[in-house]
Amino acid sequence: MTEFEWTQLRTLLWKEWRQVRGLFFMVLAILAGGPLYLAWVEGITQDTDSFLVGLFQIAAFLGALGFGVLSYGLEFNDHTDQYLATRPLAHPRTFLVKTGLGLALSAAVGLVASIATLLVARMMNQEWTYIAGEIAPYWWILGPCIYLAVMTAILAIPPIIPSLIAACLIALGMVAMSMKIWALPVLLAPVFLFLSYQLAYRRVYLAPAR
Amino acid sequence: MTTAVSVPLTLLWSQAKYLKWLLITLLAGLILAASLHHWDLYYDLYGFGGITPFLFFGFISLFSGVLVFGMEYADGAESYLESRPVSPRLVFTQKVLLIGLICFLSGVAMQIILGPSARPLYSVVGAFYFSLALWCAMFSVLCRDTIRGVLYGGTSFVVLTSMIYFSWDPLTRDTFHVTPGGPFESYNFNAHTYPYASLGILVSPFVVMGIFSVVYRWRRFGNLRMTMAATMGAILFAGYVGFTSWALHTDGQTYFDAGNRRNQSVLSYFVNDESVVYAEISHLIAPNKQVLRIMKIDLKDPEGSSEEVSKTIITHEPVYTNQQPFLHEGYLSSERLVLFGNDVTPVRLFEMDEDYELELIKEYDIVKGVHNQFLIDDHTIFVVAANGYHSSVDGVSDLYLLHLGTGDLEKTERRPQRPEPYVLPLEKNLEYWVKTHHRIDPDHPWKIVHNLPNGATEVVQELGPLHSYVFVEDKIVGFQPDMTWQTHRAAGDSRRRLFLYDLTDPTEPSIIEIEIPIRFKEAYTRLYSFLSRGASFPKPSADSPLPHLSVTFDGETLALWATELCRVAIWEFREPAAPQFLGLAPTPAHWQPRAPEGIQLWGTAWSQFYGTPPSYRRSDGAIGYMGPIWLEFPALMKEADPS
Repeated sequence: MTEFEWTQLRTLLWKEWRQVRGLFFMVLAILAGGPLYLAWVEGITQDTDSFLVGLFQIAAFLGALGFGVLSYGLEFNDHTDQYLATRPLAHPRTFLVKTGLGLALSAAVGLVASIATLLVARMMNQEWTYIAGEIAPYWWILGPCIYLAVMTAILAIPPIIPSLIAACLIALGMVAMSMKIWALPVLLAPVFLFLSYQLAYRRVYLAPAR
Repeated sequence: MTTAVSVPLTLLWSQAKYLKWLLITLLAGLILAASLHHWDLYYDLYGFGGITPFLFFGFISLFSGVLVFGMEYADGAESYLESRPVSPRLVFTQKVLLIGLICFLSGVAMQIILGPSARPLYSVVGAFYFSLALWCAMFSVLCRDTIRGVLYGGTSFVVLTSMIYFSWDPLTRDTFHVTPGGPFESYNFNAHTYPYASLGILVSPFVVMGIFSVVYRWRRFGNLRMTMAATMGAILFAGYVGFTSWALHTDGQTYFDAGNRRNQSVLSYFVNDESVVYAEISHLIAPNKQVLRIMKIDLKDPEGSSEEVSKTIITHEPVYTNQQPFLHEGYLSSERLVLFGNDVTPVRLFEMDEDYELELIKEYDIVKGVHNQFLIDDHTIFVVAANGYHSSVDGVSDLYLLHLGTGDLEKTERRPQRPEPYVLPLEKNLEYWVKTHHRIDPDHPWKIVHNLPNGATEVVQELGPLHSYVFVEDKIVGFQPDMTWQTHRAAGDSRRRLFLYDLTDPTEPSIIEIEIPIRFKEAYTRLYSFLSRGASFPKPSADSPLPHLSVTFDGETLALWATELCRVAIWEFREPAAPQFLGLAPTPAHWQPRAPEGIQLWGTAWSQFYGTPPSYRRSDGAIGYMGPIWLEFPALMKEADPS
């Protein structure tokens, strides 16, 4: 890879990071803010409301959903998708940067949520899977799966409003699925990855010029 | 069609076009909710899975706010709207009402899914959704974008609501302390605050709308100033904070003396001049072992909490039945402790020396089944060793009298005469007594009766009807209903008046009405009925009137315990005719002080018979009740220690 291509990749990565960092910090605020605020107000003890660990799961969910929407959804919303197509980067690399960052952030948020659940559950002297549900340890893998599903929904449906609604529904569906069979979203993830790769190519590079 | 009509209709039509996908989804959700209602999925959904429908309709509401306000930026309709001959206030109001309607329908859908018994009800859920929608709409206006409105609005709303949620608990129980602190079995301290929390959720859309209207005006006209909606929101918010602070205010602080009593039960106690001594027993620490502790509270020590003075391990014979031996009833006097058995363990009598060490002196193998025991006087206990659960019915129970002083267990053939709870002899004038035929029927009021020398009786005076009464030192304290019992229950048990009948001079009894503070129960009850009328809270049922009140009175201190309200009101009687109200203090939910007998009294409710948990005072003025808890009222504390 040439120096020019590296520069282009880094520039794209920086642009992607700028797009998602607001949401990333908000999700981190939920993850860290809840325990810190509670520790400041009254401390985390056995009497602490178990809603705190529910909040971690909500944060992981919102993170995965938000990163999935922001990856390509924001390009279509801000009409920058055609500008993206003009960049001297091949689609696989563009897709790799966008998806890689989204997957990494979803996994990171999920991992932090799982670890926070474990730590807080210990402080509350409770079993973490008991108070947070059986899927609590798996958010680091479930988050990326939700991310891929959401991104696929955003790419599959061109009008932004139906695609947003579909994205939320499919994200909820993934959570509901994982509660029954937690491995099912993982099995579906490669399908969503393939579909989103193909759809992104069609939407960005093969779409008629506006 | 005039412009005044056509413009709003055009606006509504344009909004409907934006919302068509959302409305289709909402319709599908409503149909799905109605279908689910016919399936038995309530428990699945109301458990962890209940979050899924809640989030689903939450998303619907969120999108409604963002689409109604955010799409005008996406389609570039902002300038067009500004050019229309319509007031911006009307545009704003119409959009807010449209969002409100969608949120209300979402709340109804949640109610259908969760079922009629779920709380909170649809108006509270709808109000929560409305706040969420307006909050996200505000972000879409701030960012001039729909996607950012959804993501940033939704996420920041989670941060905001969680902060309010986690602040609510400490705010409402900052006068309740568990000593010595640390992890403790969970007590629900704030169940009484739920109606106030529901009211807060109902008020929240108006507050968010106020903030939003200022933001909307700023983004549209570039000037930052208070709008009418913002003023209204601020007034409502101030009113809510003021009302809640007043209604939840407590005058005293409560210290719950947890000691090491996690998984422990108090058996019995006695009070002397300098200390309170009580026996407590642990839950099973092994399949056949329990720990019996004698605890002491030094009343001279202001810092004093429970101190363990002796510890005994109780060992049961291993049994191989379904029922594990588990003892939880006993009676403690200054020299003896009786630990009652159950159907697999014997009754045990311990001697307690001056150092509170226990020594087993006798075991009584009267194991036959379920035991019942009744305190006859300070030295004698009547024990029923039933032969099976139904033996008391078929008359094969073995009856005993246990004499604590000698330790003799005497078999008896007949039950001691049961005291008549509605006939109370006076202590100072033995020829007088009071009686009634029915404790709550207004047609049968209390009467003061005089025994005449010729053996006949005469009614000296009729008093009003009283129920939930306590009779101590020739004084009766109880509630006088001001309507019939049936109406009274239907009204939610809210209209009760507390009276003291002082019968020290039975020929001229004094009757004093004790004023119950409005904020003690009226504020709660009226708010509860207001919310239940508006479908924001479950309706009170005739079977569970609220709040349930009970009285304890020991001649000096009158306490009115409201178990659902987690609060107690205290009066002091320095002069019999002038009870002095000391204030309100918090208590754990569904908690009442324990009577010293530690065993069954005649009847069912301790407050209506002879036993009433007495209070005791610490040297610094704190009032104690066996739990143990300490109630600290500034007036008493200052009096005990003016420095």
